[in-house]
Amino acid sequence: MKSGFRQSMSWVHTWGGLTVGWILFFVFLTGTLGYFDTEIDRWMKPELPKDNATMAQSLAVAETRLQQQATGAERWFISPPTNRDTPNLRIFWQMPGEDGKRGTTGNELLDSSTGEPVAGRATGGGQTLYRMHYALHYLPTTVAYWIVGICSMFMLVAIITGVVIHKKIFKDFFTFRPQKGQRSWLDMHNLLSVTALPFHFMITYSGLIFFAFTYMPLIVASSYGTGDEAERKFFDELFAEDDKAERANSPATLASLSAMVAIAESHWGENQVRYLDIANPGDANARVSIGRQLDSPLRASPELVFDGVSGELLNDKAAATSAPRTVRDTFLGLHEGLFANIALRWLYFFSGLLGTAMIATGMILWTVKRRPVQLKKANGPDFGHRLVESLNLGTIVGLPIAIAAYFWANRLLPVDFATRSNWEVHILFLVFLGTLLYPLTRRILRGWVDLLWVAAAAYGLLPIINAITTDRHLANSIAQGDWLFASVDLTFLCTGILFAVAAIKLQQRLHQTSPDPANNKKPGTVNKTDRHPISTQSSEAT
Amino acid sequence: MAKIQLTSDSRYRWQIALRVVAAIFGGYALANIAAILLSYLLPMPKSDAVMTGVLLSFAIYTGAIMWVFSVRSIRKAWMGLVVPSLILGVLALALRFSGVAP
Repeated sequence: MKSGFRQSMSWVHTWGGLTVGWILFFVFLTGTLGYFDTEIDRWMKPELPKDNATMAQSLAVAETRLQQQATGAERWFISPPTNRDTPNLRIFWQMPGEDGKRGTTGNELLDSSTGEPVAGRATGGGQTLYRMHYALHYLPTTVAYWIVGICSMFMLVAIITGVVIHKKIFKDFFTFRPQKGQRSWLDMHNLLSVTALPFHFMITYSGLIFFAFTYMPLIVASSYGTGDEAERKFFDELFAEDDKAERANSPATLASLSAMVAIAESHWGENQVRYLDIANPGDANARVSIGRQLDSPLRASPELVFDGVSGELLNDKAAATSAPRTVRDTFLGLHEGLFANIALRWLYFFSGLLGTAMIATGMILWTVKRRPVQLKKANGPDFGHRLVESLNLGTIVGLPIAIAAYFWANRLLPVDFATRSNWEVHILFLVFLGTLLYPLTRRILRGWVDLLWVAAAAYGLLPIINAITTDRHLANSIAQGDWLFASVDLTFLCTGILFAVAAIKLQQRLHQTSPDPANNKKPGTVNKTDRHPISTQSSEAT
Repeated sequence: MAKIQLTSDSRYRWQIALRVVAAIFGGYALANIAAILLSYLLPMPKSDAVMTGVLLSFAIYTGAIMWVFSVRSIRKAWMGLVVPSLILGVLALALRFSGVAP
């Protein structure tokens, strides 16, 4: 179509990237916050202390509660508070289904010392933000999966074409020409993209694999047929669940769970038990699978399988089975990063931010490149151009503001307000709507300065709001060595400072230029004073 | 990229639309057909072969999309999807109905 391979790939990269850029920005930013989902959960429930119960205590509490809530269940699942993902004891149950349908399920967080469900304010927490990156919000999940999947496919194509169009990927990587308008945006886009290229590729490909069976149902159907029955057969074979015990339908007492955990700990070491998965509790054919903590990207845990009535160890299952399944589990494990310790978790977080910034700079580059031509038009920039500029501002600065509003709502909505956790999310999206509309009311660069200041205030004030509304403020948490709370507050503060720096920089450049660059821009005469703050067309720009 | 203005007539827009349709739907079809054939041919247990096909389908899809936009003529772009889809599809059907594949 275009003159050469590289040119056509450049076209695909530009237009494919632009089409889904805003949704990808949303997905990347909320997904990046997901690397600290549990930490955000805890910040958003400031009443809850960390659960320091012993394993024996947790097991006793969990079993008693499950007996109360879910006698005759098909499955119990206990996650003791032994790792980052479960700061509080969590139980889950599934009742037997009828006519091949899945039975009802339930889950609770328990306080190990009282045995009661944990209290604390109702909140969506970090989990709701994390969930948005693949299930969006207000949409049926399947619709959302498809939207995110299509955007991910665009992303994958954008990454591959982005690499292809780079003749000199390493030379470009070490090139940064600041204060040169369009060239600077291009250099920054390259720098952000190449720095974390393996991460960008991994996160996109593995994102597709998460819902691969939704996106590519025909491949499974061509070997197994269609329908629930066929699907179950495929998954049973793939995940080698051949030792699944059928219900005997004769009651029997469940053997001691702590004894089984003791055996597991003697195999793996203390605090290495991640979960207990109990099939057919209270039945003669009960099975207890105990899973180990994750210490590698492989998503599946090694398991010890016990007879749930005699307590005898039946099977020592390695985590991986076949090569294709290992590839899949490794991709998914790398995406989720559940195995990551605190240092690696921060690396994940920054890589995610690099990806988010890569998308943002790509979209800004699109407008900056076209702005000089657009400004020369008799009737001003086209509608399409103005739309992209407004959506960019409303999303790139607007979404962070909306997420800050979510945290504000968590602290400011009355604790006993019945639908408060829904309203936290409503407020997020109402503010987002506001920031998307705001650019229509202002000249675009003024709009950038305004919203950057709003973002700076929204994040900078969060530690203060936290101090006013709770007693777990920065001074207290540092004094008590509560690094989780301190880190969250400090991260808000740093984010606020960064937005303020951006606002000041842009404001300075706006003052250096004339009030309306559209009117006094003469073609061919580009000098320093005439330079447009964001969209200067430098002399070497192509 | 900058040359878009030079050719921005309705012919150019149709060209783009046809290529986008070819890339999204034609590429999807080819990716599925190729992955299905692969899942029939791979010498491993059925569930593993299917899993491998699913894992690779996104790479095939990406390749097909890039093909569509890289070739000069739109006829060639479509033929590059239709011909392999037909050949691989007939092979897959033959394997299936001859009883070699599940």
